[in-house]
Amino acid sequence: MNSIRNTIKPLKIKKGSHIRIVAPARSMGILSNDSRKAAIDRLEKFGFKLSFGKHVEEVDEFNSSSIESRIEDIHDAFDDNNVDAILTVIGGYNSNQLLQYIDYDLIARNPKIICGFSDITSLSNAILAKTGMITYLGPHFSSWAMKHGLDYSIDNFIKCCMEENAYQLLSSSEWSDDPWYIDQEKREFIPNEGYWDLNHGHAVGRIVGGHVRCLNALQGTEYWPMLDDSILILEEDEEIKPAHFDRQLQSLIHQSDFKGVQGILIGRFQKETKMDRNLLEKIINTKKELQNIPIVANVDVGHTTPQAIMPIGGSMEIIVEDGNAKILIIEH
Amino acid sequence: MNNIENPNFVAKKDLHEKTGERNIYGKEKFSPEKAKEHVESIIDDFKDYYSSLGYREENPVLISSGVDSTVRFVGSQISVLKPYFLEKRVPTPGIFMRQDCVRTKNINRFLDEDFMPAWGSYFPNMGAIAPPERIFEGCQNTFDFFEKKLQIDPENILIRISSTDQDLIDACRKRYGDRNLEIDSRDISYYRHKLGIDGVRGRNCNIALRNSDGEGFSDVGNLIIIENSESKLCLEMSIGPSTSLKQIFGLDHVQDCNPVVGLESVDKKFRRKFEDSIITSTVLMREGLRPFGQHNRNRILKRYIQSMSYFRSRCAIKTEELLKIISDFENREFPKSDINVSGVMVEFLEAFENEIVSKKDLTEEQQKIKSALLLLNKK
Repeated sequence: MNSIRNTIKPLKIKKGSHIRIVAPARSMGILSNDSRKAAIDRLEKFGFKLSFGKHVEEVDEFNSSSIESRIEDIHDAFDDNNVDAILTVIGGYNSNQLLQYIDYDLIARNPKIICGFSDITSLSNAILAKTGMITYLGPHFSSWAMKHGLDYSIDNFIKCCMEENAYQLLSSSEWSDDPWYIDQEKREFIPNEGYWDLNHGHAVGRIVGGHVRCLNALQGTEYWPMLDDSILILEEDEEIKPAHFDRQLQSLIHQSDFKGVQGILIGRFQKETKMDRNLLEKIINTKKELQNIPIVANVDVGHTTPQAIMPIGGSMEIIVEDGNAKILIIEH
Repeated sequence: MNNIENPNFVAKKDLHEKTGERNIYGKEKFSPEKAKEHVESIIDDFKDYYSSLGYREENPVLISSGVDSTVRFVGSQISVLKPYFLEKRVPTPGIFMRQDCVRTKNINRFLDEDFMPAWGSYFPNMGAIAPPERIFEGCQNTFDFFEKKLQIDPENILIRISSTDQDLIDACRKRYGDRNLEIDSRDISYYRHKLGIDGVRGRNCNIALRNSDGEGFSDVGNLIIIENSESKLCLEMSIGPSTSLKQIFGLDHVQDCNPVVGLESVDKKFRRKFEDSIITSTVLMREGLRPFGQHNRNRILKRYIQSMSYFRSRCAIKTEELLKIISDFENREFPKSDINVSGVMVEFLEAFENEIVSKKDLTEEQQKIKSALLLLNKK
């Protein structure tokens, strides 16, 4: 195995740190006033100082903003010495438009925690590929507006972004897949059955991946994070069905460096996907390349809530034995 | 009754090197490739022997099992055997076991360059207990093991004993003459054992074997009478495979029984401690322990991993080289195992190094490690 080399590790943040909000995918303009106020209150009560990118309110036909505006906000956030960390507003569809315009040297010179998920997968993995800096797949700015059911996410945010120590990633006690931003009081929480240990084994490696289609959109580009000695994180949203996931997974397997994948974590699927354990096992079992690596699914990663934080470019150990899966976040 | 005619220890002739100069035991140093076989061979001899006497075998526990709340790691088989004598149910003729152990005293002085530890933190051990009415016989069983099973000439055996322990003296005098007994040569604390149980103590004599060059003796085991204020509870017999092998084969250090190949040429003041950090970290991580979390066991393991950073920096060993050294050690020491922790050890090591380089509030020990790392990076 080849452990992390030349990793750039952003400084951890603490209460009092200054967080800049940027919108590399969809705009802040699509958030309701209630949601943005709730997110600001939550983050400020937590002790963070907030500021916003100049262009976060711009909204175009795609509920996003121009490439120039988004790039300027990202560059400003990394360039500003008063900014300690960066949160993305929300996901979307187009953050990969930015990849060729990003000043990666600027990021490497000013490493900072940048956290978001879903479409931000493109950005996270590209930054890792181009700089070696650890980025964080986890709650957006908008996620902090959630009134109930965010404790697990916050606990993990603290462990991953505010503390240095390695930690064991435990599964949440309950999860939810409801549109919480529509009615904060009408929530349905489902007891978590825990991890699905699909394949046994032991693996250690560098964490890459995230939203599968966003990751796959990087194939063949200079923004591909490389899969050598990796633990692959795979999650999807409600747009995808089991057959689509199968196709995406197969596409990953066809990558020449897929043989470097040491283990896989699969995030919990949203209800709308109709994916269940049997179907997922069937998909996994059709692929000989997956037979000898540990695979754990139903992890709190992705589009259900709450969420764990995945340090992309960090390192992880997976131990799956005797019906028991253990996930350890080592470098983050 | 005893199956001592065909001891494994001497019957495995292929283990003995045919060339070079033999020592007073007729042996010569063994190669790293043979070390594991020798350790297992002497343990097998011990088990065969006590089993042939009718002793019952007890299964070992994980070093980090927490089976004994008075210690962080199992440092002696007595941690496992305590319930038998405390509840006065030691069977006749006794119980024996092999127990892997870790004693962490070394870690507190690892970064002290003047500290040259004679023992490693990790060691396998062989132990037995006999009921109080069999103290005399238990002592004779142990002497028989050395003389008949390991074929040690009595003139190469020395018993270090206190004149205040007449019962132990009687058991030894029955077997050995005055020239085998070294009475009151040490402070009384040397002959006393603490067991971490209120009101229970141990009185011991130590068994030493002559150094392989014929000069002096070194301890390889002991006989301990465990008792409380009311009565004797049992006799404990404890023998170190690696300390015994060191004496018999004339090894430079006990850690040559668990050799870490690749560090032979590093600065002498670091070598044994560096080896110790690798051996102990590997053994504990293979048990599933990891160097994070709030428990003392995890914290101690973290210190071993951290010390590895210091030694690799001082010895200018790249992480890639270190990974190979650890991996080779693991494969040699645990050849039949599917578990491999060398990769995850180096991940934790690198995570620690990345952390320490950017972190500001460092302990004195961490500061020392950081300085060594920065110096290495400049080279």
